[in-house]
Amino acid sequence: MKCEDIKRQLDDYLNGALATPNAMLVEHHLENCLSCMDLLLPSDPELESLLAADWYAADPSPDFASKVMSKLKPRLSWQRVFFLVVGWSGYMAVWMTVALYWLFPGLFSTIFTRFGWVLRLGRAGYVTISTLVQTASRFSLSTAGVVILFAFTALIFLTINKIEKEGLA
Amino acid sequence: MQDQELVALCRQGDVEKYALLVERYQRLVFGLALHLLRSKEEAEDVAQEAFLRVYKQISKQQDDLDFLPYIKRVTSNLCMDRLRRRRTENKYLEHNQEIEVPDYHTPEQEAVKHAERATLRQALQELPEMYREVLVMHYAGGMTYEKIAAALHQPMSIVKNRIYRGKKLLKDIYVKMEGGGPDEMRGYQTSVG
Repeated sequence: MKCEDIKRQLDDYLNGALATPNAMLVEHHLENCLSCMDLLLPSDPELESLLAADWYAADPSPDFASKVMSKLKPRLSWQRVFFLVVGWSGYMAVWMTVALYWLFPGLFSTIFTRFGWVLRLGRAGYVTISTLVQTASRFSLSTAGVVILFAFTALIFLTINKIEKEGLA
Repeated sequence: MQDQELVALCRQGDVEKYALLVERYQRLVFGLALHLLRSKEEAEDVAQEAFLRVYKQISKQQDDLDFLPYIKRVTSNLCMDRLRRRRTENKYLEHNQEIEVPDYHTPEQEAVKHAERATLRQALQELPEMYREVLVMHYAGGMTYEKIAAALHQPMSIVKNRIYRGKKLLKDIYVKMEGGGPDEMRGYQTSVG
């Protein structure tokens, strides 16, 4: 049976007006011919409309929405980025100071006597800066400087990566 | 508030507005996953994952997205991944259990429609998996034949054939459930819709 025959007999087939042998031939052709099957696929508007409705809706657990919302990470804002950078810098400054004090015990007394006026102006931040100045003056390529540089680079890289992932509010 | 407005607000960083979208569509997304996976636990996992993925996409994408069709596509794809994994692990039979889908509690004038839908859900449960899967993906998930074929790694002729046969079989089962014979089928065709 050819496609033209199918197109001619399709209405009769759908209305059940075809004799059984002919209907079987039509069915056999339809199951193996993509273009004719396309004619048949949207041929049942009632079933289509029923299937297109929201028959599949079902209730999830009562706390479904809250579970989803609890898993959403708040997106970064500029304020958060600022506090992230300042917070990490402060945290690292404290540890670097402790490390330097441990590595060079005499360093701080030197700073205290020579640059005491600096310390009067601030706390940890100035200590770190003074320490860096001292360390840099002692070593042409200060290990501490490299570590700090590396840590800051990593921090900036991580922050940019986080912004790219989560977007910026 | 319309979906598009909510999506726009979410994009601007208003996370709380996303809760409105979750509450609005949780039943559809969960129901779609449930009918494909037939496991409540897995369906809930997938539905959650779908909402999270769509939220990420909203944050990244600057163009408008049509929320419901988009999340349905994401859900269908996630379900297909799970089904593929399940089949390779031969766990299919364990999960292919009867699912209890709670019916709606609605006013009387809606009762007929909901009875039809309940019968349809039951009829779908009677369908062999290969037919039910493509019908749910196409009609509930809104996936095109091409996308279903890609998701199932099958040629499009097979997908169309399954949809064609599935609908035929579904109608037979539906009519039987309604308690009719071939004569009543015509009655059904004119009464539904």
